[in-house]
Amino acid sequence: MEEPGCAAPGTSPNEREARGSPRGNWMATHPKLTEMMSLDVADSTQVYAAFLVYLDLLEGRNWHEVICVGLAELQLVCLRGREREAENLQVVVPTPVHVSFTHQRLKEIMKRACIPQAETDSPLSVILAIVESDSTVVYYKLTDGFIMPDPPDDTEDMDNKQWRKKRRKLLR
Amino acid sequence: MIRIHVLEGTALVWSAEEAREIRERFRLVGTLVGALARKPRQNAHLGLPLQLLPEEARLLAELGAAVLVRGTETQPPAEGEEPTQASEVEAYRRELEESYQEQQRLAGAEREALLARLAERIAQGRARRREQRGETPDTVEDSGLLDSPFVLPHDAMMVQLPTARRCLGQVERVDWTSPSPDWPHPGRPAHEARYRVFRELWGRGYYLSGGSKFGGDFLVYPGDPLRFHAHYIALCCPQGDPLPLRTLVAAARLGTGVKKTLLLCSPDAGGTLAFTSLQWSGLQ
Repeated sequence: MEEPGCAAPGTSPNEREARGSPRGNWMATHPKLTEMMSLDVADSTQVYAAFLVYLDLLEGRNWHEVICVGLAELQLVCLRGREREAENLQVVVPTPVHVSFTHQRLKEIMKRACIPQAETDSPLSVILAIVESDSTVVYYKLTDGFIMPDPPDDTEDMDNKQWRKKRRKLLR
Repeated sequence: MIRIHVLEGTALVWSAEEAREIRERFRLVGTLVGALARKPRQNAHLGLPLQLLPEEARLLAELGAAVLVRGTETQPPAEGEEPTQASEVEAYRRELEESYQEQQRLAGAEREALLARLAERIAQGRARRREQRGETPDTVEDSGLLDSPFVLPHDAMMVQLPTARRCLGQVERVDWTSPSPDWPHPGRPAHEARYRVFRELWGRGYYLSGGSKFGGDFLVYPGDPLRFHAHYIALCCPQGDPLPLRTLVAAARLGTGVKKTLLLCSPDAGGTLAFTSLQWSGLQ
């Protein structure tokens, strides 16, 4: 694959310069990024994080559709999308990792960013997408109130032999 | 009235009945931290005293079910107290001697019974040995099974170690509402914030225990911890305190790894408490 900045064989220096600077520049002219920046609600690091999450959801996780929404009161660009065609819309709040949040701010984000659900009994919930400096993204689900964890699997997923060995050791 | 002994900020309950009442009547669990007299060199199973969280002790005091006390300096025994101690020692020695006599009697009886059961085999063994040695069988000697009177050696005696204290030391009450060297928590913002969360969750019917093993403030159980795994790791976020995202990710990751939901707790604008659950999203 061509190195960034490297010219294809057979091109003149002039052409190389015209081609432009390293391949990274494709981001700067990406229509989605320019759209997010034009919303003019957040600083560049948050916009960049939102853009990376946008790409990750569509290209990495194969979500069906993702749109970006600017929230001026929160100074955030957030995303709304659905994983598959039949699923509900989910709200994703991207953030760079060096930002700190108070619990208060998290609650505010949930209140304002959430899509008003048709069924009013389902609690407010967003997905917090945390972008590391190396562009990896981790997703954590924030829900208002008490959400019970999934019950532990019974011994199906444990290798039976290991399980019996552990129990024997415990009972000794 | 439950007596909670405090020492440099730690709350301890020494009575077994009180520890049981605390669990059964007040839904407070605490932690047993004492070594067991018979199995001292392990910490899988521990005994009294029961150590309570500062929040648990305060809750009991607030409910009026317990008082905080601290031990006062032990005074040197006054003139009149010496004979009392001596008589106690005498009583203890007498008890030991009686126990020894009883044990000797029982051991002797057991030995007799055992010898009677094996009488025939012993006789056969003796006869065979006599034949081998070429002696004539002597029936008179064989009938004497008990060669010498049985004596139980003193170091074979079983001794009971009384672990309940015979008489309590001198104690004085401690005011749980104002800070003191032995109870420094009142007024500290961190403690006050944690206590609010603790009281709210306890009030909703949960069982709570310390959460430091899981990187949180409390573990929240739907029922007695002996019967249930914890559902939540509660993390108290004082109002306005910023949470670094890396801390949040670490806590949430740990929660996912141990199949518990991370619960962020903080006071709301209206004075109530707000709870937010944090779970791994499960996105592939």
